[in-house]
Amino acid sequence: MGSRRSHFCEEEIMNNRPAPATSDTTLNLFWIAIGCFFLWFAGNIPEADFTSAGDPGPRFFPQCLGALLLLGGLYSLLRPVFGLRPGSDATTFPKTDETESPDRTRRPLNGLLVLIAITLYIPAVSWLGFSLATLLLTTSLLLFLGSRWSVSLGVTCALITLVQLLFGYAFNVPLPTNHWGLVLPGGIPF
Amino acid sequence: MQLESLLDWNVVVPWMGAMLFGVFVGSTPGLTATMAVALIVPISYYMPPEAGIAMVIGVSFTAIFAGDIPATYLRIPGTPASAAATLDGHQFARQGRGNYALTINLFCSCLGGLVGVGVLMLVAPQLAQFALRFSFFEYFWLSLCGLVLGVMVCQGSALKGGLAAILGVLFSTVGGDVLSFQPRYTFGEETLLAGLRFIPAMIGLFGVSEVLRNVQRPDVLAKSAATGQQKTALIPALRTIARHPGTVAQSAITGTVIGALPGAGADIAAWGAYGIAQKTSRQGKQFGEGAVEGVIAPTSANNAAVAGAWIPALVFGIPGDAVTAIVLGALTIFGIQTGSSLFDPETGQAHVIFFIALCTQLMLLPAGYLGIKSFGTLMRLPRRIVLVAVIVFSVVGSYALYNNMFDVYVMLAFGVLGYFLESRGVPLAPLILGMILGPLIEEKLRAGLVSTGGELLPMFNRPICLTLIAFLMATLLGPLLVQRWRGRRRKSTSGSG
Repeated sequence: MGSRRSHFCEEEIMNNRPAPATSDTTLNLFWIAIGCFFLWFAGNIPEADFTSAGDPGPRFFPQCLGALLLLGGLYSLLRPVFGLRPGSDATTFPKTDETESPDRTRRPLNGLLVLIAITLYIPAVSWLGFSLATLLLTTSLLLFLGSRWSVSLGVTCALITLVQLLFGYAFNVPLPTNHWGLVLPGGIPF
Repeated sequence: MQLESLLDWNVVVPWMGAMLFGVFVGSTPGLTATMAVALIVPISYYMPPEAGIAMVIGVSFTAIFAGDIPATYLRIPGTPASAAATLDGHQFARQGRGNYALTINLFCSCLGGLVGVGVLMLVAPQLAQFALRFSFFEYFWLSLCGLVLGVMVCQGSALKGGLAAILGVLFSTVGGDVLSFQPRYTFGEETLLAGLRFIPAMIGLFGVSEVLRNVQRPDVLAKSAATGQQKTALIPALRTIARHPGTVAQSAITGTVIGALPGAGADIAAWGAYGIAQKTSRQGKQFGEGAVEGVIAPTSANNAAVAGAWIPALVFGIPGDAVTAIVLGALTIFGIQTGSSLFDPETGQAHVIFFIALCTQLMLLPAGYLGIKSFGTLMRLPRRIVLVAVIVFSVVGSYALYNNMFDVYVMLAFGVLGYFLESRGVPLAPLILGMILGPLIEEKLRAGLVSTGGELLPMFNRPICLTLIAFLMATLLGPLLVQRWRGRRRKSTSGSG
């Protein structure tokens, strides 16, 4: 038993996989919560003004699917309780390449910080305009991820120019400009 | 309109230019093939008719292939039709063989397109008649088959895949109801009335989740984004394709047939071909881990589907998908009317269109090769630079579709969801497939029920419905029966031993 467990742990570290039991419980609770959400709020969907004979209505589909998700989550959660065979696999992220590191060098905080940066970047784009917000985000992110100042600024400028040329000019997709209507010399928005 | 005029420089140069434009638009996450064609139409209007038609047709095929480039390298599908390329193609890129996978993609796109155009030329009227036999219920069963096949072929637990597919269909119910347009789960927000669009969702699920995962590994951030040797492997790729002619032919034909069904499109064709290839392949278990046939099947099918969509479009004026609808509109600008008059040998219009479509497949090779090389060069940059660029392109790509910041928040939310689900072993492909097929499944089922006054029997007693139900049952129960049969055989072998 001990050797099996140690073998499992070793394989788990090699593949960057967390323990399946805990993660499956979280996942099953997630399915149940989402199923309950859709099932509960399906009751708020207004009935169709013009009903055709045979049409089960706009609530039918979400209610059926919400119930299915709820039942699926419950089944997965309760499978071990009733002695049923647990899920045959607990594979997590897609297969890693040879350059990726084992769990011990992972820094989950990096992921959280990048997520916060993107979350702040989205409203910043609306307020500061695409160019200025991107200048702040990409420079700080590249510095945070280990690039030098010069590289960070160079890459940022190149990226902003590329996106502005590609979207703003070639594809004619207007990118968000700053809230104060400021423009660069020559009337170029930023 | 003469065939010879197509070989003039004033036609060939803008034609090739448009195809290169298609490569860049298609490989930019968030910009779809539909958008590429829509963008080229106003430019083509100022060209001679032959050049204009060639530009529009050229872009429609090139953009579909180009979507595979970021799907393979970055795991962000350039177009929805390339979502299946994020599976095996991306695994090749992880192994440092991204260029090899993309070279296979390029040749298979060309071959798939040639098969599709060949079928279009030979059996267009007959196939269009067959497609017209599909009623609401046939479409319902076909969509359901596509979804179930997507779940069964994905990596990992089928239960998790199934629940992900249900979640995807549930997400598709957000917004206006498909028949009555009543708001569902909008909570009074007008922006939600249009629903959760699957392009920002797709960018988030595949792109942002990948970024969040990669930034946690500081030791790889300074290394090149594409690992190992990224040489363009023309000869090995051709040899590989030569070893799998059956998969190419089967996928191309699947793509053409699915493409010919109005409303189906290249994305469903790609998934359908992927599923069939996995079921029929000897290396079916390797699908999702870097199987060559997993690269060949979707890419052969999606380009063939573009040609397939032209069958009902040219014969009956019914476009199979949004790209074909725009192409059809552009053809009208150039004075080409669909229907029987198009096939009149005196006008020669059909021949010109077929010739352009055939030549486009061959011209795709240099245009696509250039795209692969350019993208491959960019992939030599350190991973942290590529990851930051992915964030910026994900945000801009999600925004660019409808100039709407709400879509960017949707992208971010799906990025977090994708990260969470993937860390728990849930395959993401069924979720996105559920979002694509969900509205079709619901609309066709309910419209069918309305047409029969609520009677259920017509859902089951039509020949095409029965065939599709049998296929669905075989897909669902087949693996279980095989497993049982193997268990019994093992028992009897050990008993006799």
